[in-house]
Amino acid sequence: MTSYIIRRLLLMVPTLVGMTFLLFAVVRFAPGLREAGQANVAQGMMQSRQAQRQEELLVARRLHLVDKNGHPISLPMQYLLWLKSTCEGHLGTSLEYPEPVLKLIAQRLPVTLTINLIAMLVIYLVAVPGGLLAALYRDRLFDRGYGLISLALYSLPAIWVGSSLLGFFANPEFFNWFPAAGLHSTNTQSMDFFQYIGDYFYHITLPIVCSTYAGFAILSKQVRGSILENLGQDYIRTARAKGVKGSTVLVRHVFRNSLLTLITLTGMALPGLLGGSVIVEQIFSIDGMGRLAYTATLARDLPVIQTVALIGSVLTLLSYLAVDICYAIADPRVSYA
Amino acid sequence: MTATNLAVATEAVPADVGVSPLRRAARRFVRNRAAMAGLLGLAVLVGICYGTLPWTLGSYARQNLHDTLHAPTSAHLMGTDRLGRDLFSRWSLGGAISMGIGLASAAISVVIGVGVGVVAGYAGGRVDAVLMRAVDVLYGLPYILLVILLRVTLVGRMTDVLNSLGLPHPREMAGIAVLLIGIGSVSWLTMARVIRGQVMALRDRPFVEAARALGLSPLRVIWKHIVPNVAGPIVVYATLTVPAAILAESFLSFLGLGVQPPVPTWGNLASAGVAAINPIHIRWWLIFWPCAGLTVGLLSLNFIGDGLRDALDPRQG
Repeated sequence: MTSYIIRRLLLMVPTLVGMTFLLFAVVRFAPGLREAGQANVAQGMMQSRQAQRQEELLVARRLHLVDKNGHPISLPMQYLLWLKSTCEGHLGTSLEYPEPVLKLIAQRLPVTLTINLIAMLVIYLVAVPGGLLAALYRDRLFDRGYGLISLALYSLPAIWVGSSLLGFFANPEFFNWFPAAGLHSTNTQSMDFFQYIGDYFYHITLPIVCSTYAGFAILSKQVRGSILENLGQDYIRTARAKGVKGSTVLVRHVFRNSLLTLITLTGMALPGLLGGSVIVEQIFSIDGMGRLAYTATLARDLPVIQTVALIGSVLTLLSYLAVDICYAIADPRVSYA
Repeated sequence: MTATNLAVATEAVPADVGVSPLRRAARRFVRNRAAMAGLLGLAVLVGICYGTLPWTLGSYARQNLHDTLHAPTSAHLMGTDRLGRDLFSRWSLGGAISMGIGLASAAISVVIGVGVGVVAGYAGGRVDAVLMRAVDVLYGLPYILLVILLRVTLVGRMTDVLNSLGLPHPREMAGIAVLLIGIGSVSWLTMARVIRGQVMALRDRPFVEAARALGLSPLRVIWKHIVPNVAGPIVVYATLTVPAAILAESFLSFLGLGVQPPVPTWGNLASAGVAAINPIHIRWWLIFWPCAGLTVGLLSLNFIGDGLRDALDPRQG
């Protein structure tokens, strides 16, 4: 098993290099981004022309656009320099905020991760049993109703749901149950730890609802399909014919096989955990990863864009590995060799 | 064969034996009530939005500053906005544009997705690895980033091209065109993966081998023997991409990256409605109508897509 994982990790290296190359190409060949440094410095600065020029050169050097003497560096060299500093762990400083990129991400990540993890948990807790029951009661009332409702929820635009949630549940006119924006109350200083945590979850309840409601349809549809497919297999009939208890057939034979579908789907959802929804974060005024990537792109904040995208790519690769490992554990037919 | 055996055999034969798979699928689709309701809902929306085009094209930007922010009346079925423009005209034209963007970007995503998926699945090996890694990278990149990059790259050039062609409203048209290219070119990833999987399964089937053995060129094998066999998933995913693209348009408009006012879409009407919400005046019609349009449209399309999947892929349903 260990050697299998090591081999897989080694295989990931060329893929990762290819990914960084593509990432670099996408980011650097877009107009406006290459001149990002200059534009950012030039904005709203009351400086002599010479000082401004100095500042521009500094930013350009930080982005590996020019060398020490101010001569432009060729693109392939830029790529190698970026790769080198990234490997050394220097992900750069944001052009927009006076902070290292990693610090910015460390500030934004916890919120996004909390919201996404809770939303994912709720989605799985509803959609997996829902899909299972829908398959068992195929074409009956539950199947029809559940499919209809989950698909209807999936079709509601998040803009509407988000602003309605705000308008009805965070509004003195109707139900002033939840706060309208932000992550903390103003009096956090006077709270003990549990009150603080409670306050935090109280603030992210509506965003969680808004990231949850649309997620049921696709997952339960897949679970239902996979269970129906397995229910029709010969080995299920054999197990039943042998007199195995109905619940045992379901758990050991049907669900265990459907687990493979579930693993694949979960693996594909993992990189999205860090992404964060720009829409939800924008509506509820939360400073999470989605908003970070969005504002960084608008501001042409090169180091932030590159880092966020790089983390996304690495995470995609790691989740493939995780899927393969889980496959090997869940399915004895898969060998490590 | 004895008489009793024959009787058993005829009993077991389902009623639709001898009917072509396509016709059987059509029958399953028609029997699906949700899908038929979706078809009806879509027909109504398309009828209203495209049927009123001759009138709405002239009136969508007509302002009347004496009659601003009026609740729905018989003169203004959906009320008026803050510049006194008739919301029904804007909603209707906006719906036409939103649905058009959805359809066009779904078409783009089908072309790219099927192309990449078929080539990767059929060629296999290195080609497959490179293409699929590219798909992985694009999955990893933030979606908004790609759309913004495409906008920055293309809007200016597109405006010049449309200008030189002498088309009316070059800037607005360029904005819409770039938006649908942006949405189309990032929404093909799932399609490519699904099609690749299907093609890989088909590639080694005897009839494809036979076609190859007969000396057909790879292009012909793909076009004549592979593509028709993956038509089912293509249709299903294309139908499901249209609502996803309409939703993407509304998100981008909400972020101010979509079609720019005064040209209306359901997305930018809804975001204008959200912006107009405040605790003192609840002008519900500004957000209700565009969002209701979006919801009915998405719901109909999702029901149709879902019905198609059940009809074309009985194994799943």
